[in-house]
Amino acid sequence: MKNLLRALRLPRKLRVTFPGKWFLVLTVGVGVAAINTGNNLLYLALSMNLSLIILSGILSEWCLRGLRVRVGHVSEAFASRESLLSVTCSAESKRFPAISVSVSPGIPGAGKPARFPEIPPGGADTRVVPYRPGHRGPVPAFACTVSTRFPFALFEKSAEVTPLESSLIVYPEPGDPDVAPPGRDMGDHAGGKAARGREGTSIRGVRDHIPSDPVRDIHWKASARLGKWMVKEREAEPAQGIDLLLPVPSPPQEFERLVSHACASVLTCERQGVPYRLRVGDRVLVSPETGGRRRKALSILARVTADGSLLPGEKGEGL
Amino acid sequence: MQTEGRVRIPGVLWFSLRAHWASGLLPLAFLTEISRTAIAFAAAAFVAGAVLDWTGSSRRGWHRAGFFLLATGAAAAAADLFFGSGDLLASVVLLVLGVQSVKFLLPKTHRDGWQLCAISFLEFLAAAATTTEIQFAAFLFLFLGLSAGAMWALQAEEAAEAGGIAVPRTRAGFTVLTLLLTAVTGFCLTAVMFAVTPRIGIEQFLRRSGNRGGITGFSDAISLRDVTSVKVDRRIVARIEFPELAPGVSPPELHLRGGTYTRFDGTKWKRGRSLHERVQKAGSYYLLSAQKAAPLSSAEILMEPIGYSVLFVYPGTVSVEGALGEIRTDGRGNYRLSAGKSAVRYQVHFAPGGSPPRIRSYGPGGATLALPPGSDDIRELAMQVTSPGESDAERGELARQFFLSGFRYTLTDVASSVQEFLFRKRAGFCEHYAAGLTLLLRAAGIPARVATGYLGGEWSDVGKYLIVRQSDAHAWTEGWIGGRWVTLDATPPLGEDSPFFARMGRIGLYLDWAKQRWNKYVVNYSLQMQAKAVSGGWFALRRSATGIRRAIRRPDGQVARVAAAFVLAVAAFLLAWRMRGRRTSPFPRGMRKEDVPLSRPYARLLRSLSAGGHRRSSGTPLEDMLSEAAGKIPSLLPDAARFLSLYHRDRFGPGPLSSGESAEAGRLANLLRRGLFRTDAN
Repeated sequence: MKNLLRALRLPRKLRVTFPGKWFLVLTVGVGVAAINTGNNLLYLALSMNLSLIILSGILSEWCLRGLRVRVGHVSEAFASRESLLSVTCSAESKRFPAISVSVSPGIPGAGKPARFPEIPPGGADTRVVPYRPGHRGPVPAFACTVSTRFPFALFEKSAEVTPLESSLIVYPEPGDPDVAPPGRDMGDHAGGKAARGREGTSIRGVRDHIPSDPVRDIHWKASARLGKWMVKEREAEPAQGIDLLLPVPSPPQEFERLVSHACASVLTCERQGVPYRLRVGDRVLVSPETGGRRRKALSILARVTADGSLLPGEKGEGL
Repeated sequence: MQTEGRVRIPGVLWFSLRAHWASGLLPLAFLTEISRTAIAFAAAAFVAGAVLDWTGSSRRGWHRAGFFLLATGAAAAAADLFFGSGDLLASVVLLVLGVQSVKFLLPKTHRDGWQLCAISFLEFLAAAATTTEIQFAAFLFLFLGLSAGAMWALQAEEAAEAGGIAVPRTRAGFTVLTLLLTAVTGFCLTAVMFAVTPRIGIEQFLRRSGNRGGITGFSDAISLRDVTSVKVDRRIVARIEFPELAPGVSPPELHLRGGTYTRFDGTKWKRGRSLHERVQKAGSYYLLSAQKAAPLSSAEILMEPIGYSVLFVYPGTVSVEGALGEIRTDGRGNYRLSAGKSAVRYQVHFAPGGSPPRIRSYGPGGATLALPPGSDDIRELAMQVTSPGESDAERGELARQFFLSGFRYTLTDVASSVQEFLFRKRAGFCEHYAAGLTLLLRAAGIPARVATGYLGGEWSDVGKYLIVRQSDAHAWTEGWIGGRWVTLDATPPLGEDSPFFARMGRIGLYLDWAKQRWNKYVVNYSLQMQAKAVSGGWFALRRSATGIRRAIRRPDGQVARVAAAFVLAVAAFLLAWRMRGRRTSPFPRGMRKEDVPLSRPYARLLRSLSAGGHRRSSGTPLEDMLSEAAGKIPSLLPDAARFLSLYHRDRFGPGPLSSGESAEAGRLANLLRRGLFRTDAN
């Protein structure tokens, strides 16, 4: 039934703006005057107004059609914390520029819509919007509302666009960092150096680029080889590792609290360069040697459920 | 760019918005009788306000002065209504001009912008309500384009205010082109909408005051006075098309009758009786006579507004078609419309041979044989002239031929009475000839009357219609011969050699053709025309479909079948080709589809660098290419460094550039591109 209703839904929504309402009132008035007097030049003025309404529809359709939207994280998003989303609107396959477009991601917690004054044909533009997610977990598939008042501001036409490759994930709300993380000291059994962000000197590996990475960390050769932006991960000084344990199954509320603390611990460990191991029940899901450990650990914490299973997450992620 | 704490629209849109605000003044000035002083004042206020807006001058305290100006405007409008023109529309327009002038001068908010647009539209409507001139079409086109520009400007301004960003700089070329296309498309759409909007309860008469006085000869009485002013008046009074014309009939030789006069008191011709009888109507047809003569001809007459509510018909008219309201007649060939001083369009079906018998049979009546007292000399002359004739027709023709020799056409030294014309001066104009012939016929026992109207005119080869001017006004005689009124014209033909004949020239004919089409298809467009167009289109469609079906079904229709298959194949190919699309890559060389495309200034810079030999390849980013290129030109290095810093932030975050920084990045990209290009060229 839902699918049927969705199929029957109009592809565009139209809202009459304040000037548009006055314009319509004026047009109706001219129509009444034309009928009353039989003056054909008033009919001509009425036709002019009607043609402006039609033109408005055509131009706004040209403006919206062919627009593509990408939504991504500018920074890591934690539940109940302020973060930023990047909204990229591209007019790659368009011949007419997109003018006065605003895009509002249909995600709870997304703030003001991103406004794009002009996107030239074949070009793209990126805007950042504030985002305050309510809870952790992968963000389910969502649509973005793309709207415009171009050209005459008489109507606001909007369309729902599914963003390209938008797999957003919200990490758990970091708990109180003073509270000791669950688990125990696991010693220096890792026998190597742990990642410490980019504070170290020697390169440990590369990972995918995220918008907040500085340009100086881009690994140009790897980027060229792989065809996408890659950044360097650097080694840090050896440190004592700890074991982070999430007992499953747990009561949901208690489990959320534990996840929150685990998240805070992961962040602390990452900040201090302390190697750690993340266990969910008796399964070790993140070990000190895991590449892209921070992201993986946070992703698992975002997706883990109270019974120990993991929700599907970003592309390629799983157990 | 801030004006009074408000964002200002840059470039073409700013001018477009201002032009739209003032565009309502143009049709008012050129097409209406609104006070020129008031329009000039509003125009001056517009110029002053535009300058103040441009310079961003503060206008604190001007609102008080504005209130005073508004009160003055209201007082002027009231004075005009009660003591001046007395026209409500004109007074309202004066008031609107006052409000507009004040708004021009004061600082404008976003809402003021919309209000000024609405005022401009009201002025445009006022012009539409009071004119029928073709120039209105030009103003419509202009107004449409400027409306689009103005609303675009206000929309951009509103979006910028809502988003807290600067109004984007629009490219002048793109903006002008878009506005032009919008105007052209809008004009075409307007034409379509105009054609399909149903004319519900439409009146055919336009309530437009005629500025012309009554045309000589069409009042209730005519006399032998000076008609020079009429004969030199070149204004067009009618345009006549002939959809059906009997063979051998020449349009310029047809007499277009406006009235007949039967009573003559020695100095003046007067109408016989009052026009009290209503003409019978069947649908949109008015039945003037019983149809007997065949074949019938038809004429589509488009009368310009004149100062008299006369219905002009050709002698022998059987019926008149059109939405003309009530028509009254006196049964003697005079027809009067219920409304005068209006442009009017109707079709006349007539027998060119003369008047057929009437539906209600009227005899000629005794008045058509009456002679003024002291007409014995006329009776003697009539006896001499017409005695060889055996029938009324022969006597009538003899009387007409009497004026062909010894009489001269003149407007200057004319006779003051019929006797003087017939027996002494023998010089006069058409009214003298008509009066002389009428009295001669009456003296010979043939009922006769004087008829007035138009004769001649210029045939337009461009539009295939007859252009009739006021100088073509004419008077002639109608005699009751063979049981009907027969036209007898004693005035010698003047033809194209006449000093009164007006010729337009080729360009003039085209201009008049445009005006004729405007009057026919816009000013007088009606529900009936809509119905005709729909039925005509439907029949044409059915005819075409039937024709195609027959051609394909025919045994020898192999060619038609092949042609149809070919057309279908071509259409399918074009559709497939169109769907496939031919897109040029929006990515500069070296970029891939997966990459986020570059914005325009960056992409242009990258292309210029590539063209300059700094090829992009995998792993060679813009900064390397730019550093390599700019390294050869030390003067560009600071700009390149600043540009790269902005470029990195714009492309890779953490946040977007501000509008000022974005503009700077674009400017630097263009600067570097030009600098590198110049060097390469050198």
